[in-house]
Amino acid sequence: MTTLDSWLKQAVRHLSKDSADLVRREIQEHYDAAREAALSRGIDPQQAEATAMQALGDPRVANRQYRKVLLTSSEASLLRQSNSESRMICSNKWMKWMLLSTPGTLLLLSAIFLAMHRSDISRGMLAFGALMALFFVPPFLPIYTIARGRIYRVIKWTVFLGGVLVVFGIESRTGLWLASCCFFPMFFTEWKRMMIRRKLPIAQWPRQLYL
Amino acid sequence: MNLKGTLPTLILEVLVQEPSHGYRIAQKIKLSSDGLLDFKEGTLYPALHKLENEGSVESYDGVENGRARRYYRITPSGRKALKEDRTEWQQLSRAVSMILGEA
Repeated sequence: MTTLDSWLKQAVRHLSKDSADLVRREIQEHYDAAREAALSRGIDPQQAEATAMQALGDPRVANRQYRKVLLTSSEASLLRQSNSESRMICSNKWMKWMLLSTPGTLLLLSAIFLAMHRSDISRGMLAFGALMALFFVPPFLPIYTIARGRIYRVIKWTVFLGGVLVVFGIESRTGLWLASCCFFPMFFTEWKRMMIRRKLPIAQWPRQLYL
Repeated sequence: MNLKGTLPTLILEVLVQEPSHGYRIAQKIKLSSDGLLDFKEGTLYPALHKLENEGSVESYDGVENGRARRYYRITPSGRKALKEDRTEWQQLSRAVSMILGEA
């Protein structure tokens, strides 16, 4: 294994396949140019390679910086997974109607229970229906600009907090902890999406990244 | 000399003159500063990708001496960012000079 290979191996750790290919290509180009420049100055080949390698610096530092700006393997996998989920939901007619009608039904039931003076059940159904609407209906809405995406996310988190307040009332602080634990996978995915948004140019954003 | 935080501005300054590839950008920064600004070239590309993600530069494939190269060029938004960075840097530089001049 050459020194450049081991440098690249460390520099591309935990990066997605596409990101790693990109890094390999640009560093290889850079190394070749640096080596050729050194050779043209009359330096012997071995020394030229050493100079080109030295100029690249520490691969671990480069890896840390690459991971801040290029997709990691876990982020690429999340993107693939949410792409296929989105395709599955939007392409299946039954799934689409079920996801659109369930929140509506829950909100309707909430109103019925409220009319029957069963406010405890009504509150739970209202919160659950609103949350379901927020998370399942957006794939069918025209949210494909940054501004609309931001508005949707603000509404989503406001309704989420509102839902906790409605369900738990005065014990909302405890409820928030409980909700945070229950919805941890969702928060983690949201955090990952936020990272991906920073790393991908807007032109390359898939639809679900706006949500 | 420590370049921390200033590398993106220096990259934009090089690219405002002409589109360029990574190796040439690194050499221009070093040559323009008489070798005073030295940095590890492996960190140049993450900075370029960050600028690309922000929309300040865009990349395209080109050929130099028969070899494929990834070129970078500045965008209108990058020019705007550079203008702001220049102003900020001049203010900072003037402030530091005033303090050091008094010492």
